[in-house]
Amino acid sequence: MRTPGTARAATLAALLLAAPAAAQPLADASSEDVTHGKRVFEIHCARCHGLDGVGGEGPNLMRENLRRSTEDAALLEIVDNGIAGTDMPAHGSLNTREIRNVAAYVRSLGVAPREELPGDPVAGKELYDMTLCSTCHITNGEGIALGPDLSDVGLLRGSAFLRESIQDPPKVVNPRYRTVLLETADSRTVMGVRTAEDTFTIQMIDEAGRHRSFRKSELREFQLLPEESMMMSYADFTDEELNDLVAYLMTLRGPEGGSE
Amino acid sequence: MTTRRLVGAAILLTVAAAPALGQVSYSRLLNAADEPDVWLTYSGNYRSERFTRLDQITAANVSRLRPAWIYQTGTVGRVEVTPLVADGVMYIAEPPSTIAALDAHTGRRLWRYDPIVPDETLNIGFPRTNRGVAILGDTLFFGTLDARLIALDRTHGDVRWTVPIADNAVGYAVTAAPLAVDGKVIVGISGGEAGVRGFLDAYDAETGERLWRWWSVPAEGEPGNDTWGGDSWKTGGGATWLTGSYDAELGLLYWPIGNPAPDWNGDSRPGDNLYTDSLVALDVNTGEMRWYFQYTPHDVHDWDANQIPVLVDAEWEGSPRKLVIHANRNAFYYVLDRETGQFLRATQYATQTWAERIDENGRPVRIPGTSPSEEGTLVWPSLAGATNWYSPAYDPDRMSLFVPTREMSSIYFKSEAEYEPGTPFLGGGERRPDADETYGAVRALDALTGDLKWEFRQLTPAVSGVLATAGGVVISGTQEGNLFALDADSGEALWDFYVGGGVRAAPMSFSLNGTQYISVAAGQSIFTFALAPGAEAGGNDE
Repeated sequence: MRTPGTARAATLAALLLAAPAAAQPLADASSEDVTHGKRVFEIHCARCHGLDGVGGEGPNLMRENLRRSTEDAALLEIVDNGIAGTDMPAHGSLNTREIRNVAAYVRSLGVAPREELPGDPVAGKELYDMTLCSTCHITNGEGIALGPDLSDVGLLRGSAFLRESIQDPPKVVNPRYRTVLLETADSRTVMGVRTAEDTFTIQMIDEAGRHRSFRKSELREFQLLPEESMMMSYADFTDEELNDLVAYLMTLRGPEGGSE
Repeated sequence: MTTRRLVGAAILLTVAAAPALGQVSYSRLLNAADEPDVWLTYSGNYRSERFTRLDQITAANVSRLRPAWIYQTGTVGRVEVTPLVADGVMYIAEPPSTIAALDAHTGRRLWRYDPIVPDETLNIGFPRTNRGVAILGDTLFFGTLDARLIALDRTHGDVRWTVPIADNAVGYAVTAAPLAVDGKVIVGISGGEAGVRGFLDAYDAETGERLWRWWSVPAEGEPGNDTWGGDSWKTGGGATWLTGSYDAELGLLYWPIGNPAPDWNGDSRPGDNLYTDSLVALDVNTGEMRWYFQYTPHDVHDWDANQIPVLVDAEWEGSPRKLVIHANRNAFYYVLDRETGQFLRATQYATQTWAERIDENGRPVRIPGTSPSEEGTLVWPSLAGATNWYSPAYDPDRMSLFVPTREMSSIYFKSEAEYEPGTPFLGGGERRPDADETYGAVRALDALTGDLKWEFRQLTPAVSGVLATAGGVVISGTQEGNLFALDADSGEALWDFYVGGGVRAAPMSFSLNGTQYISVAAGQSIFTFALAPGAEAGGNDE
């Protein structure tokens, strides 16, 4: 009768309380367990965190400190239940042993050397300002929040993912930022980014950055645009420009500038 | 009138009123459909129609539906109860296992009883919630998360008796509303995801003495045990976590049975795994099984059968027949003969990619390669199914079953499963697909054919039960927090109201002083609605 998400409190309790092995630090896991954890990681985690945890759509895990899980218990909790309000989901299918071993594998990843990126971040910043990225994105408090805030995107995403999202946005765009096009009863057209929706109503930020709310039954037309049309493609950047932009974005590591 | 005369009159009134206030007799339960002012069982009557004969609220005036009162439980967790209403008092359950009595006119609380469920109580595979009480005589009956059955005096909430049902330390719990029948309380258990062995119990309503126990997984030497490999039957699941139905003339209980354990890895349990994912008909007096029908043999997707079986009497191929209908989690709608269990018909009502068809005996012909795998297997419907425990509603006038439906797939994973008492025994799970391809609906099915009459589409897969009314209105909700009313003939949306919390329960209806009310649990509260005054109260003014 599983209602998704409900076995999890018990799973975590079992993880933390049950076996004496649970008291053992994850860093002391056997090599068999870590190898098993690697296999689980490749099936369930690598899709977002990249093979070997180098990052992608999800954060790079090969770092000195994982912000949200300095303690083993917090790491197990995140693997088990995900992180509310982010794209990190509860696993939905792992058993106690798999959760422990995948967490032990994450602990074993160690620190990757800082990625050598080919571009020039200073030139990348100029390009960012010149191409008006801030009309849709916020960095360090500046810009309009139609799309994701990029202030710590260098921590949260891998460089390959950023490159792909600039070149081919629809492939990787986050469904949280869907574009809405609608026509009101008095024939006004409104376009913007959806912020909330239910069966009867929809809320959005329009192109001027204003909050709007509509009843669907009172609209002449209403559509969520297909992802292909969701944002401009920047595919016409030269390789050099793309390298510069990615190099700049990878320097965006939050207010503390790289403290993880 | 002097004070003395007033007191005398009050005493007389009390004496005269006592039987009416205090007793919900078995005959009232039997004839619940004829007493629409009250709501006496989980699904409204023993047939589990979740249909009210009240017709003050109609398709023409439902747009005037407004909140009459709101009761806030003040608890965290999900409120998933269907309230009961008898004699002006509403009885609800709050998470995890607290019972409260409310004045049905105003929502003011009269009393509350908390059985004190320890924090360490396990809930493996379901929320820490309670879906309702049963009523018989002047007593309420409910189960607790730590698997006790408790009888309360319904006037003050005092405990009459408490009996332990099973051991929560291995995963047993009670979330379902019991069903009270003639002198008995029938109660099912949760815990399939912990690998418990399922059962259904009957207790003496007066004393709490256990009268019988029917095991949903047969023991060694019993018929059906050979559908399990080795000792797998001992941890086979088959929980009985949703309230069943009852035919007093036949003396049969109809109870839906849960999934086998471990859920997604069936290697250790080769065979059909009887009586998981089945509907069983049990003799109400002895608990002996009269017949069973298994919807999903050897289930590896967690498509339990814990959906409400609805009893329908209808003409079938020219002669009157006693039927039981069931929209199953596996995406097929079934019609069975409820005297014999004979399979009569199955119709697909939601997207599915696991069965080529249902054969002439009601057995699915599986599509190869649809079992969970280590790398993941994409299958429709999703883990939560094409529907789930959320009640459907049956409108006997239109012969329509209104089914809360989920259009969604899952990527099913299989992993190793080792049984450890009191821990999840799953053997895999799901990853959800992109949100874009999922949606929900209320679907109106022809009760005899299962054919679609209409659908009302919702943004996200359904999680709410449905109520049908003689006023031609169908009420349901969404996980976003909408409560809405549809035209029972067309499915057209007639009214909606944002309650601000997911509607994860089923609505019910009652009437007081000539006013029809609709109540539903949503978020952490109970919402009760009635028509706002119009040009002519209750009239056809629109």
